[in-house]
Amino acid sequence: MSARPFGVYVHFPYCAVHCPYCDFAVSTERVIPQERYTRAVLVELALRAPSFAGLEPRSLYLGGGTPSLWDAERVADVVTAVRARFRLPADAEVTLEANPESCEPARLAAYRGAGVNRFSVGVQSFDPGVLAKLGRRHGPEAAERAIRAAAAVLPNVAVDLIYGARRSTVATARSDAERLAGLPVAHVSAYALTLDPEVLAEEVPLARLRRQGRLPLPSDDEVVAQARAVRAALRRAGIRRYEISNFARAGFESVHNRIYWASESYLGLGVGAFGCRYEEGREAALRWGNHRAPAAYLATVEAGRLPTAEEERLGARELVEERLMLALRTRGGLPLSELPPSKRSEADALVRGRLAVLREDRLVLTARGMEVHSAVVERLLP
Amino acid sequence: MPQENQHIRNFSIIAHIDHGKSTLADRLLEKTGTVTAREAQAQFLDNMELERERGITIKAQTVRMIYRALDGKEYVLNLIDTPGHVDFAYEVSRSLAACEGAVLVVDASQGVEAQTLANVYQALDHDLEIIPVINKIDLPSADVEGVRREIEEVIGLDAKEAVPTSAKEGIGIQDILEQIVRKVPPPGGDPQAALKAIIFDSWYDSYRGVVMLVRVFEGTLAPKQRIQLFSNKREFEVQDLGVFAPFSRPVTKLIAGEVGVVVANVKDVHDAKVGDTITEVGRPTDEPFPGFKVVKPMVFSGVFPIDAKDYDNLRDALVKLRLNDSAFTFEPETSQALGFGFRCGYLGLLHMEIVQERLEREYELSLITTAPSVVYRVTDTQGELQEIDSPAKLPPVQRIAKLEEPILTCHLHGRTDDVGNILKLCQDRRGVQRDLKYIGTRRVQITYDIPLAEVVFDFFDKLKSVSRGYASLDYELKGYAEADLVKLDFLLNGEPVDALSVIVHRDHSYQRGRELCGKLKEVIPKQMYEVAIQAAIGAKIIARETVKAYRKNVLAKCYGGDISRKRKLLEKQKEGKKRMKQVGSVEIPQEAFLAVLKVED
Repeated sequence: MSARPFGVYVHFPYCAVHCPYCDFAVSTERVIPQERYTRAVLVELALRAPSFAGLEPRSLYLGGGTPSLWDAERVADVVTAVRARFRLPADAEVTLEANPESCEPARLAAYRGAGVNRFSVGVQSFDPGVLAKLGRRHGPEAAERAIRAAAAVLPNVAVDLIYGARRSTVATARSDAERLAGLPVAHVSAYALTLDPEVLAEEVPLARLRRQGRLPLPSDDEVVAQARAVRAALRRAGIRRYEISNFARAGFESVHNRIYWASESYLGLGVGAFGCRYEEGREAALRWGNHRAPAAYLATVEAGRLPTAEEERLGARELVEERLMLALRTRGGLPLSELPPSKRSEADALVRGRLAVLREDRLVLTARGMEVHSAVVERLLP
Repeated sequence: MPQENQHIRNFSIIAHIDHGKSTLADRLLEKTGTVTAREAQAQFLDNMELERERGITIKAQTVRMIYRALDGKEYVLNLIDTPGHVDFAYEVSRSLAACEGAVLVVDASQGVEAQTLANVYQALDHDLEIIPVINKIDLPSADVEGVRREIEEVIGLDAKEAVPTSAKEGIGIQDILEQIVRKVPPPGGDPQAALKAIIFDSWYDSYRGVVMLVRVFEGTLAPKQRIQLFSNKREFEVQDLGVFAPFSRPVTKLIAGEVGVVVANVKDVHDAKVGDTITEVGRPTDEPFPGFKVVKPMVFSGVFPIDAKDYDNLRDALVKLRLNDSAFTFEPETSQALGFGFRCGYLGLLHMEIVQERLEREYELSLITTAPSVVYRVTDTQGELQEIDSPAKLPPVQRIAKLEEPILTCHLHGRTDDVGNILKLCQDRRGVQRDLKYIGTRRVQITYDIPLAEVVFDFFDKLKSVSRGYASLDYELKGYAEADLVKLDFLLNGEPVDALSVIVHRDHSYQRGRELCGKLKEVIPKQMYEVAIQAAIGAKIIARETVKAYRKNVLAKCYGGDISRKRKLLEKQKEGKKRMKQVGSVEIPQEAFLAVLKVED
């Protein structure tokens, strides 16, 4: 029996500006402490690696923040260290998130040289109005240039889109998706702008405006219509939905992100990163989050201590809940054997109501079901 | 020869809700030194939390005060506090029967209210000496002389000596005490005669068993005495006697004319019915105290646990409640929609609300209470008569030969300005006018026969709103009358929900069906599926509304740390739904089942 997989996530918190919708741990220090931060990540790797012994590494994901501001040599240090530590297979997915502004061909080539084999470009939209309201500095042309530049370096390019934002319409959402479909893109993440305080790690500036009633946003019906327009355009281009917000050409589904949705372990390194380790037998797990402030993170790691800021022990109940919640986000759905037996009739009702289908003994949400994923899961919770 | 009970005065206070009964009682207790001002700060007589919140008295209370009057003599004043709501009219009558006098509190700016009037008439029926008091004279809107005139005109009492009072400011308290001593007659009765005492309240105490609050009319109660309850001939031995002064303290005897508590190893509160007569074994009194009746619930509703696991807890709680409330009844009931629960009977809607709140608060149960129903009399085609207390029990229409409903005689009292509105409301509620009397130039007394079912459905609130709070209501059961009634069923996504059914008059059925569908649409939250709400009479759909499905919830990213936040949000949402009942695929909030009470005309 093969060992269970896990993924490695490394967070690079530094950004030129803080986008007002982003709830990741971000720092806009003028001078990025490249060496110091890299050293700290490597120290943390050494501290945390032993607890992942016995698991099989599948992926490395460098997210942020803006990891395309990370010097390629330092990125190489990190990729090399992770490979050495865990014997990451040569063809394992290594993703680096890139901002359109930093997608110069030479820089991207250097990342490829550092071991990166997948770029994720934060485009968000091609509409100047939408981009401005999202606080993005790049324009539509820069975004397109960035994608082409990335694709010229690596065949595996992913792009992020946001819809449901201020100024977003069905027309902008559709044209964003269509424009992407015409570009050399293998993977698309399309997110509805989310300012719900309960799912954000912190109150982002747009959420504050929203709370103060100063940010008019499209209605739920409108957002649903935008999502449908995005889906339709991507589907026409052969980019298939495999998770609520994720689409890919066949074979280009994200290895790393599927680890989260499959309830497997992940090692998070760096400022504000989260890690989760399932125990043998998968009856319990530990999830932890690192300090979100770079100063606290650096100081702790440099003192040789784990930079854990929060920790949560997950018992059998929480794991069942998460399993339901995560598996039902995906095209693969949830094996019926994992459904709480008392919820079988509920699942049948979902099928009758066309919110789900049964496919090879798995419960899979339909497009309509995915729109109300939270409500569906809530009904199925034990 | 001076009798042993000549220094006793038994009196109650009659007042409309909010006219200041509790505050006045507190002042009397303070003035007589029964309690200190500090002890009185939480109004002493209303000692149940719910009572205090609602500003009304549910259980009778008594307190014994010692008062040294201006004539230099010491008097024992027993204040017998009466329940203050129309649901408890019988209890009021029994408390009044225990008194020789009553202090009538009238608000100096509001004047005489119907509820007060009804109690005054009861007091007069019991030959009580009435001492009018005009309270709240400290308010700028006070009109002492106007109210004095009104007391004379409306009630026909001599109000020359009515005491201008401000219970809040402590004005007039001594005058009231003096008038009680001077005007209320001492109780009669011979302490040596055969025992005759009436129970005017009883409750269950987990340490002492049933405690009976009694007024002795003849003879003497003493510990070790063998007593007998007149209605069921059961015998008990007196264990303890006591009085409240204001806290319970034991006494060695209660003689004719006295008021106090008796503990006699009675296990079941239903053996100590309010109004029953206590006498002694071996030397029984010839005649029981008149007016005893067994109070019967007038209004019924289903009570179901939201979580079926709470069924046993609910039953235990109901058993406990019944220990203390002989007017409350329950029996098991099964609903297709709500599962296993109980059909509960109440004196009225206030009583129902009190029971419901106590179950939720004191026993921490999450419950669904279905719309209240009255008891209908059904004569089937075989000629058989059957009483039904739930719409679900109504036989199919083709088996019904005759359907009768209970009718109330309602006494409404209001301002002449509001007469039009009040009459319209009564007409709308299928009322039949019996009497309309102008009293003075400002007030009117209206008597209507109205079906109980119409009164149950927010009649009182409506009355208050059409009269800007001035009108008041008192009623008694008149009898049964045949009516053209139909059962209105409700379907959610095509499935009938039996617990939502109501019985309505045919003429109102379409309107009610539409109103209720509208109300259900308001209270049923959007869910994953569209919810079709239909009202039906038999197989015929008469109204329809749709709760649209909600369109989206959070299509966001879900990685790493998002997972915990998202899971906790789901847990919280699920917790929030615990107060909803899932019927088929539809989640129905508690208030939907009482929507019928909340329909705006």
